[in-house]
Amino acid sequence: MAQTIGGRIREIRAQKGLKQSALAKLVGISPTYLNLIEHDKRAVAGKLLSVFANALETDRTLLVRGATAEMIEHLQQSARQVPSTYNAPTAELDEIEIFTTRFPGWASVLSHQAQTRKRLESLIEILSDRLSHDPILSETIHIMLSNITAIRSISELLVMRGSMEEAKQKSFIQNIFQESKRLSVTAEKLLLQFDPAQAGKAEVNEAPTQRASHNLARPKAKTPSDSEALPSLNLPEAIKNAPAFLRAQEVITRQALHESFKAHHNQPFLIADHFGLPASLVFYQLLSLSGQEGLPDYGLLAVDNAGGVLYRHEIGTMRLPSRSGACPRWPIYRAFGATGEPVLQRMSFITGETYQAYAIAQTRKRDFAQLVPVSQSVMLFHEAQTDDPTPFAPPDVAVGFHCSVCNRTDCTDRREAYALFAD
Amino acid sequence: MTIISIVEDEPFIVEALSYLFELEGWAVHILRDGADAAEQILEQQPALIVLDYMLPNKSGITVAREVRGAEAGETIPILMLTAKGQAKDRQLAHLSGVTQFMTKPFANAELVASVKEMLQNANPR
Repeated sequence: MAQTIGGRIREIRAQKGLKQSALAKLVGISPTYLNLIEHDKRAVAGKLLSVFANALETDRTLLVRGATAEMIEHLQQSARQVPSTYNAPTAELDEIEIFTTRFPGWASVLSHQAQTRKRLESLIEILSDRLSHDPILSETIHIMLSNITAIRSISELLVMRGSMEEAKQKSFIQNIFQESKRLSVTAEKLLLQFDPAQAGKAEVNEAPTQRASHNLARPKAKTPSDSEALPSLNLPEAIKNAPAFLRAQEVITRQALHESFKAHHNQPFLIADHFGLPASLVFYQLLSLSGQEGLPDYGLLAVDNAGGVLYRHEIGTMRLPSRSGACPRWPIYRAFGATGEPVLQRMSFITGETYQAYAIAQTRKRDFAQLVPVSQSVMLFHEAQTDDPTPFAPPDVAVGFHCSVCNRTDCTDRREAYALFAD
Repeated sequence: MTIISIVEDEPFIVEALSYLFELEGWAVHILRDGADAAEQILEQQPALIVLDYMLPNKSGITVAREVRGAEAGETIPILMLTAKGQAKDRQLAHLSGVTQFMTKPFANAELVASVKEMLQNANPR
């Protein structure tokens, strides 16, 4: 294959048995000019290149040496990402083929950089997502900002002290000392979150559940037929391939689920009973219809009996743990106390949000050799409405996200000190 | 004398703000817990409330709602201080009756300027 655009034009023309004069006529240029192009004495790009591609019945990008369609696309994307401000550089997009032809090495470097940038942006998005969705991380940062606020405010007062009494100055200096010590402790705790060894382990645990959570496609807004099967969820393989789950997908149609939902006042345990299916499977099916046709927005959390997170789907301000346990007062953990028994609970957060939650724990498999049952607990939840038509009155329990970031100082279930007050 | 209620659980921030406000000639009314903050504010009737978002036992958002829910608290300006600066937090604060939102860490001068502006807006001459 020829190494230049001109050479490739000549090559393809010859393959098609076209004379220079014939192709020149098709393209609308003189044979002399075509001869110059074919011998790379004249550049060809833009509209003329498209005309050549049409005349030779080939793809425009195939005429461009050393530049694949993918590379051109990367360069175009990179050029479009430059903000259109007064002094911003402008790329000559209509001459991109000339650029990639004449400077394939530079084009390759730029394309590589564009891809690297895209990858890094994606990484930033993931880290940013982690920051805002990991309650421990975000609350630790909240505490650090409080520490910093105190230090900054006191420092400013000391710098502009004017006629500040000596005793007051000493008190403020002592406060800065105390607050900076607390800041150090909080910062160390935060660093543990990013410890390479810990982070490596976390990724192993987090990857499948996070992937599943991110890939959980909200069903598209459309008018489904009543008998249509429920949208499939991108769930972990262990759940998706479980025989009971596959059976549930056959049994529960959209119409049947809606009818049952209305008849049973949005009570997932009664719906499960209606279909004769395990409640946890009905939870996943309801999640697939989240927010549609009068149903509330559902969130879901699945954990094993060590508290490890198997699956998570957040809604509203309800933050779920990424890896380990949250508040021991959450019904998902209480459910382990009576495997197979339904747990209904209203979860009241100190920030004022209230969620209606349904949880059940089940023994997934039993290792008879070791006599160790392996259980899982699943919790479905949605924002509680004051006018919920449910005839049930579940207990309203004050909860938090995690002891280290919970300021319910009167909680009797605390297992760890609130980080802000920890010595 | 102008009374400012400071509802904040971080003791060193409370001490710094108290000193700062007293330099401006304002009296401070300090509350460190969200539990009965609204009740005490309504009883005190301050000219302005500086309210932390995260408080022990009851959030600043709930306190703001409770203050606004009472006739005596309908017009008291509320300045919310918070390390939570996301759009949804601001939206929730405004929906709960917060007049102005300031993210931590802040500059003392910036805080004093905001308080003065809010006091002026609440009592235009």
